[in-house]
Amino acid sequence: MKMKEEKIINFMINDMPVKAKEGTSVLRAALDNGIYIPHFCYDKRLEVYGGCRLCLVDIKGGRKLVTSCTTAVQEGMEVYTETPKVISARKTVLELLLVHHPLDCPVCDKAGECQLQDLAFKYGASEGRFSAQRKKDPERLDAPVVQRNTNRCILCGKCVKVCYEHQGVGAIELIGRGFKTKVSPAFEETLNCEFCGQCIDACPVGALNSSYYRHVSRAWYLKDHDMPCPYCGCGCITTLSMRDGKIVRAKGVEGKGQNDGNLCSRGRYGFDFISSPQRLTKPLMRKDSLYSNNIVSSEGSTCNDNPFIETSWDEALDFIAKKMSQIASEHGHEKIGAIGSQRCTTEDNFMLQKFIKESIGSSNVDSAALFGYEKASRSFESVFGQRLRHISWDAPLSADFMLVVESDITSLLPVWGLKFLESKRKGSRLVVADAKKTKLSRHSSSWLRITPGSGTALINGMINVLIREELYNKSAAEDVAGFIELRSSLKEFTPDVAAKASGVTADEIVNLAREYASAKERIIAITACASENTKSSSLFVAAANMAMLMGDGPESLQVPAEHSNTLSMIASGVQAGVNGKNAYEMLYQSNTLRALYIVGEDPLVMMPDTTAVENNLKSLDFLVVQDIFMTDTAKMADVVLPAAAWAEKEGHFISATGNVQKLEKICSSPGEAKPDWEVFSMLIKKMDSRAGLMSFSDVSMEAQLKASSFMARLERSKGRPGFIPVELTIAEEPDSQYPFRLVTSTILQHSGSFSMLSKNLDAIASEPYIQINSADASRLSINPDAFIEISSRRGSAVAKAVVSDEVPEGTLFAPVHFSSARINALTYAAVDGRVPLAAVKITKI
Amino acid sequence: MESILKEVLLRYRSENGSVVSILQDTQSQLGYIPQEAITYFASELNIPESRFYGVATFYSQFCLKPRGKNIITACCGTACHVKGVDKVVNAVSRRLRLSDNDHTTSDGEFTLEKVACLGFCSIAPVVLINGEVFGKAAVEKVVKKIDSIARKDDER
Ligand code: SF4
Ligand code: SF4
Ligand code: SF4
Ligand code: FES
Ligand code: FES
Repeated sequence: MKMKEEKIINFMINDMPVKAKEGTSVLRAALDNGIYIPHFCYDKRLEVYGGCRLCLVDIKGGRKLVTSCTTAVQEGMEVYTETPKVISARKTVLELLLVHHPLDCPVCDKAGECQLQDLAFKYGASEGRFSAQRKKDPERLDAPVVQRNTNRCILCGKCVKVCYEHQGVGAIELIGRGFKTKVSPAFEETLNCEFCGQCIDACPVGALNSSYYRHVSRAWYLKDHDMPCPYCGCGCITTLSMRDGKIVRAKGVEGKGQNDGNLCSRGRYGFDFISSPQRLTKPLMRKDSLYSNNIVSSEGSTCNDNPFIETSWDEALDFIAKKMSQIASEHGHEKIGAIGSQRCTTEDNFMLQKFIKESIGSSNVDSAALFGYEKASRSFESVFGQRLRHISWDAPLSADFMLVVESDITSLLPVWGLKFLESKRKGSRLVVADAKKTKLSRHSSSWLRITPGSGTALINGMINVLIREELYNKSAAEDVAGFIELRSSLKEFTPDVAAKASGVTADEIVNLAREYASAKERIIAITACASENTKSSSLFVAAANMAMLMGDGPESLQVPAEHSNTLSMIASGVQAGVNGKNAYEMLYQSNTLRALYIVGEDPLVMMPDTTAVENNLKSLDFLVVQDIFMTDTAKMADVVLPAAAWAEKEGHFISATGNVQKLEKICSSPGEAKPDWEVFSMLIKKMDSRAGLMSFSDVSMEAQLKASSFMARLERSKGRPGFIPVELTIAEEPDSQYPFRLVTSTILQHSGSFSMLSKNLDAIASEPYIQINSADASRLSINPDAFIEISSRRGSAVAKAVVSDEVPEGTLFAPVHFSSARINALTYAAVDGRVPLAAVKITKI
Repeated sequence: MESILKEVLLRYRSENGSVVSILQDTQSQLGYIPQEAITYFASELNIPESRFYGVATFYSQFCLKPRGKNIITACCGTACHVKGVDKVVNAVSRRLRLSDNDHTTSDGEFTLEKVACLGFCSIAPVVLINGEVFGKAAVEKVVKKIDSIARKDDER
């Protein structure tokens, strides 16, 4: 860690003694001590700019007023923030701003929380000493989610800097000069950016606003609730504003949560999925299964195409209990299994596994995390002797060297990803090994464009160099089991060999290894998401080998849990135990199960090789799906149960950083939808009439106890560490028939298939697409936006071609969320250490 | 154009240039800064397009549209404004059939530009035609000059 002795400075603000660290600005120190100094352009995330001149203060002995944001505190300094001189200067600044301002507060969404309005109110309105034109630029309402009204802009430049410096995008700029200056994208085109909305929260006035919130509510009618975001493992706190029982806005607030006011587009815009008209409202039963179970006779039934009929909870649960008992007694308990959800609460998942383990008597409970975080965690455990721990939010900041391997962190865990940019800005080295051009690769110190899926080869090559050049930590590594094996297995894996396998040069590998070894505080960061197909367990093993070789602890490997509650789902018992079947066995191997209960997961869209999954689901005797909307998987179910969503139920999430965060119920759920935990409580009673219904507090106590003891065990338990030699194997290499590699992942604006319900996110990214390199596109004469069909040995999908050099030649990239183009029909399911890349071909349409 | 932009980029790299210098270079090569140039530099240099565009619109020396063969520069500084440069500007616009938005004639012959004080306030209003100073510019004088240039060009 970079630790400096920090000197404490004593000084006075408004005759009150104040302490601050050396180098702090007067403004920061004042704000930290609850003293408000008006300011427009200051933001703690940004380099000090000092442009708005609103933060003027009087310093005793000084001749002129100074801007407090650019003045560092000094021992014995006496600062006054509201002297007549300061007030009059501030008034002048405000007056000059107000002469150009349209003063259209009555129709401005910011009114009531606008700093300009508040200050004008405090210091008195402009008397019109100056007269000048008002701007009459048209409002720009053309972009999704972000609206601009440049007439209201006070040109503080904060949005531009937040976007460029902090967010690493640079989509907007102050364009033109003088009176005509305005905030705009290049060429005044329609804003086309990542739509994080960070600029909106940064704007002190109403110049930037969210489209969905336009004229929706006056600020003073809103009631705010702080909640963890439902999407990724960052666990950002979003402040949700409610009006009439509905969430009408989400924003980040400085000082709240580890995200400290930052949000990504999912967190800021994705909350509206809960009010989608597609939400399930009633339990549904498939007609066929009712006929075949003689619950309803098919005669006389009304003929309509809907395969489901609505029913009551009581009937639906009776049916489930009856079928489950019947299958258990006819075929055995172990023929029943369940898939849990990385987005449901700790309580929900706890009750699912309790139901399966205790009421059914089966140990078959697992989740899609098997293809993501669990894969990483188990690989890690096999080397370090302990499971992965949670990530540390500031790990990138304390590192002086960051190696990111095939991980688009700023898309998958966007706000944590900003920490990598911040660390790089502060002088650390960021090396990105990725086939795809990402925000991180664009901001990296060096980018190694490796062949997709070849991270293992790159790391093995580095290990070869570390050993050959004796750069590793001998005392720490040589006594560890497997060292000799590791050394001999990689003896021949020279940089030249590794270079061939990974598509970069031998020199690059040698230099990278040396740089890695000479760093003081190094981390390797790798994401582990089920939708990514460029990594196998071998990559995590190789990375763990390399870290251990350097004598680095487990914390030097930062692997974040993917979703809002991945960690806690695992901790509360949804993971395949020794006796249980895992998700691969349940969903891909035939005849493993007769009945399956799926909660909050859509394997038919989100898991690899969906044809295999579909066949397996078809062969089941009984399928129950409990979800918030009719997913593709739910369409195959015998019973579909409507679940309450995030914000409609109490519970807890554990973020990728291990923070236990509380969820409130702030909205009512649609129709008869119920929290998942409650459904299981009812089912447990149906299965055994002696069982009582559990209250939320009972459930929560038991669930949290289980989860927290699991999390505590992660910290303590330590098996024997040992190196494990691994090599790169790719499940399916391109050949003449299927010449392209297909890389899949999650994109910034979506997550799973449920973010598709969000109208806001849909406005940003609504269509499936396939990225193709411009050279490939012109060779095959594929025009941008033309529909293309791609197919693998397992299936095919049609989507629009996006010609982009973000992907290298020979590689296609496609996001997997969109059920209208089921990309996962083409992908490969492998849990055996092979990289599940798929080989595909393109057919034009 | 592509090869010119490549050269500009090479010079920028070898001279460790700035956003301003690369734009200046482009303008001196092409007479203006085409959108394609900004898009090209942005992706090659990993600098957002908005940065280039911001700088290009901040300095009045930069021109984002192709300029005509003949440049008419009307001063709109305070002195010239007071002395009625608007009349001249309107007359020139009418003569060249320019609307508020286009500053270059459709045949690419003339561009009318407005700038801030040219430093000749004593002889305001001031108009430059291809660098030639017209002090106390009268409408007739300026229009006549334009006519004669147009005629010459026609003859060629
Ligand atoms: S929404 Fe985000 S990316 Fe887009 S302009 Fe604003 S800060 Fe930049
Ligand atoms: S849009 Fe808002 S944040 Fe951006 S410069 Fe204008 S006032 Fe400042
Ligand atoms: S980074 Fe993750 S937790 Fe934070 S707002 Fe985005 S999706 Fe939500
Ligand atoms: S906040 Fe200090 S000058 Fe703007
Ligand atoms: S104002 Fe026109 S030359 Fe000075």
